[in-house]
Amino acid sequence: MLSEDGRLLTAVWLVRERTEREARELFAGLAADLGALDVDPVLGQMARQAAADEGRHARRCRALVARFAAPAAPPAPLPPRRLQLGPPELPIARRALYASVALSCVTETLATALLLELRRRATDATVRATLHEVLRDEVDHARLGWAHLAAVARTGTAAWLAPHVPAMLRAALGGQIAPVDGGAPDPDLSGYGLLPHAEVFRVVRAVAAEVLFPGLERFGIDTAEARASLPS
Amino acid sequence: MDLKRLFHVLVVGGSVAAGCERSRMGGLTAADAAGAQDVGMPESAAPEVPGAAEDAATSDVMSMDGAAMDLILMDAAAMDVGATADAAVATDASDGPTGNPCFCSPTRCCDLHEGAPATVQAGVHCCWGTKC
Repeated sequence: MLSEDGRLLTAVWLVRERTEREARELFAGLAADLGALDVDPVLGQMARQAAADEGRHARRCRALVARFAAPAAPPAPLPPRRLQLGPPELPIARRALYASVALSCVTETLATALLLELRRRATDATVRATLHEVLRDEVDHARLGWAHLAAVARTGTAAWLAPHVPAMLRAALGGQIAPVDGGAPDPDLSGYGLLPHAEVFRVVRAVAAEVLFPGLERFGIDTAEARASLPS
Repeated sequence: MDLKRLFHVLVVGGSVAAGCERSRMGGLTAADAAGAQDVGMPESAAPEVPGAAEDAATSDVMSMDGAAMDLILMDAAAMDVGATADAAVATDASDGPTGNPCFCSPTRCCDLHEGAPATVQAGVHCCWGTKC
């Protein structure tokens, strides 16, 4: 596929590959922090499993990069970014909770909803199989965060996270939290795992309103600021 | 996409995983559902293991972690989180309020209050003969 669509799909799956690699490192870091804390060991196991899953997802993305780039040679993986989750001065227990909420509650919850929609629309068999595999794991990755948050809220407080949630949302959405107006309409590549931007925004708004924000509030995190950060 | 059910699967399912120490590694199994001792359940609180008839009745009980999620993710033309999560809830809630999740571990899913009776955590109800 050498068309413009092919180039776009190559670029998208290339970015997804990098995202998966970054998630692998972040979950590995979270697993290490959880291992040093007096928390349910299941949480650490879930984080280690998530790191392994993300590495596998990256390989699936690489296969699709090669497929969409063909017959040209696939581009090299994008260099990973140096990511820092949360303020660097946080003590380890808060750093771990921040990472759990940012990675799992926010990012993976949104990703699960988007993947459900993506998979529903995917027509390409390989893309659909990849989305299915990733989705199956992302459900567990999201639940890691909700598990950790629930455990903390049971004996302490997570309210301090409230002002950080907007930044978590921005990070999860790549800085784009509003629909793109004007310009040429998106090509319909949903069969290959790419939703139109407006559709992404619609899903994100819905899952934030019905799943993410109520979930955070359930565990004592005020979401007024986060809700305001998502334009209607 | 039924977002209420997605909330149930991710948020409620995740928070219960923390409390009941089962998570994706196993979750509540049919044996648990049938009354086998759960993690953290004191001997005195463990319900008796029911007979074969109840075993059969609960043999399709799915945890929110394993089989239920497989159902949620299985390929189906009309697939969404909704109907399959409903199925999970319906089969889990063997003797509790219809539509509520039934996760029970008396020592892990209850809020303890000094001087007052323990209460079931939000989103959970006791089932299979257990109570806080």
